Amino acid sequence: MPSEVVYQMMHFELSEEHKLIRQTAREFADQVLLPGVIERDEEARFPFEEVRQLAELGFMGMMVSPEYGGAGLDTLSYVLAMEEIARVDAATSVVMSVNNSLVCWPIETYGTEEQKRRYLPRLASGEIWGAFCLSEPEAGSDASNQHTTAVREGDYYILNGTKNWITNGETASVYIVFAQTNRELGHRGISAFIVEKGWPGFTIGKKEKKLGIRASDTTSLHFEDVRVPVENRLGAEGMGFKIAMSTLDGGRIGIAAQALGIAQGAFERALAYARERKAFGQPIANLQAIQFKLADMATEIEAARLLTYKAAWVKDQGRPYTKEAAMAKLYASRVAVKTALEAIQIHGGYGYVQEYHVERMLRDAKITEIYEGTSEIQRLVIARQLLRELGG
Amino acid sequence: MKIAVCIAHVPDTATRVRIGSDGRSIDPTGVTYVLNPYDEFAVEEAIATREKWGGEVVAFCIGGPDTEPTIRKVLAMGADRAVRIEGDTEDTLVAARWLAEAIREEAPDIVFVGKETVSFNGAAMAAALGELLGWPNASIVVRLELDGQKAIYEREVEGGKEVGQIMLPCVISCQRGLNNPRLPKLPDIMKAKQKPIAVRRPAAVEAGVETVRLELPPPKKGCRFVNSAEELVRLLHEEAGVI
Repeated sequence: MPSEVVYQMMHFELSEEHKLIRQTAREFADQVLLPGVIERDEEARFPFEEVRQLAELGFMGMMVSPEYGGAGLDTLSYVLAMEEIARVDAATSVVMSVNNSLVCWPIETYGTEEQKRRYLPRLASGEIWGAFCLSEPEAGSDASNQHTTAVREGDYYILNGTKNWITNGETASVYIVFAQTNRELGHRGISAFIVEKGWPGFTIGKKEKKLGIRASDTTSLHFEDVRVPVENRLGAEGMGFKIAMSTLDGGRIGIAAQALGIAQGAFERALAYARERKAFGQPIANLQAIQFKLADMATEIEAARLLTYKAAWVKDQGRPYTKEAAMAKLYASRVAVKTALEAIQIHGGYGYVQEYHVERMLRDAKITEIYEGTSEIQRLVIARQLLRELGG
Repeated sequence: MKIAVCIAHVPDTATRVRIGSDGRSIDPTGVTYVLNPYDEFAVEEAIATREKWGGEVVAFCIGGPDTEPTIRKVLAMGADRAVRIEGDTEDTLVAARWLAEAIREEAPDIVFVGKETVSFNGAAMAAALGELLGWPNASIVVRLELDGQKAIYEREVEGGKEVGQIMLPCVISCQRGLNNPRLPKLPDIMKAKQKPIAVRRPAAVEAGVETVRLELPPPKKGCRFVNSAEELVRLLHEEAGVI
């Protein structure tokens, strides 16, 4: 029962290591990410130097075992770091999130020893980073409707198809690509492959012009008779959909943390502004209309934080976490959008202009309700888990 | 090269300080403690020195077990081990005696300290340690070169800079500009758990300084806007009395 899980974690105290990880991420965000965040957003410029520095500190392979060059940390550490990075720069945080949750994790979980040795050290050190390629023009929420195909020919699979909305699409070096290996089997006929940039027939489409997280690169990808060696299949043939869904379960904890960070960042700016801005002869923070907003924002952020940390904790205990991850993402993403909107309202006209950051935070927040499973999909996931728990 | 670095666990400058009920100390409720910001330059210089010359970095900190998160941060940044001196004093000379006693046993080639603590702003530790250890010292250093025998330092002085040379072993107090302190790497945060922190009980030393009373600075007066240069001149003359 859920209550048992709650009672066992009721100390709510972070370890000294967790606190130091959070402090390090916060200092990095304030010192390195904040100074150029507005310009990177405006110019849709990828944070190459910032990602290099993040990698140097170990943030690009946080949960990868030290044996493969990672920091060997738990999910809670990852959540704390994601929250702090996203509090300042959501676009950079998604580069980090995709590499950690959607690329390193499935390779370490489902990869062969040879695949782990070949890819993880470079991915975890941030020398290169990866992309997760599931969505297609006609397969978004309906992810099992894969049109990309991989046909076995001897020691190779021949990959054909198009992928859409791929984060790190242009800048990644390693791509986890899902494709149908047996259409008759439906989602049980999907397999996963590790594809490298530069292989003949693999081309990168145009970079999308986005509402938010503009500094991260999102592209389509095209595969035309790309020869993928059999040893680059991730997991068994037909296991792809399971790999994709389990990977997204963990990814959702990362996106929940990203949403939480955006909400926290917007809230901190709104609170500071409310204490400084004077109207009717006093700081607007003294006005009940503003106080009610601040109180609601802080309460909802705290609730989102508890859901997110709990999902991370459940995963770290080795228990099933599909429902907790979906709940955390569903709620935290809503809170991010709502908090950013209210932060703009508290700022008034200043909130509507670039230099006060909160307009960007609203634009960045919206994607958290869409990617790695829309809010509607999260509700489906939660409901199915609830019914399954009841034997339905 | 054996390198010593002295660190302090101080209230974060972003913390709103309240005076405690005794009127002589701050109320620690809700106060966040951090590594003294100037000590970050000292720690960075110590680690960079070891990286260049090899050897060992030993961190020294006065305080109770509550200072250990700050010590662990320094170990995560790269110090090899630490000595925590179990004590509490607001007298710089007492602190210097405790530190000198512990440092002498380690016989380092060089000691780094921050320019000052942001809690007491005494800025006297380098001189006091130098005197007690019998070693030369240089304060408020913004550039440093070592050659194994001597230290060539640069420091800011009124209207210019001063370049000097002292023999090792010596004590250097570090000022902003000397370096860019590193953030700890994530794997090093975990490794820091395994690094030793020795606890040392210092000799009894009579304090020569006692805080009688703490007061908060008066609140800032509001800014006044004036409409003309003539009005400004009149106010500066008649009200402020500065011209």
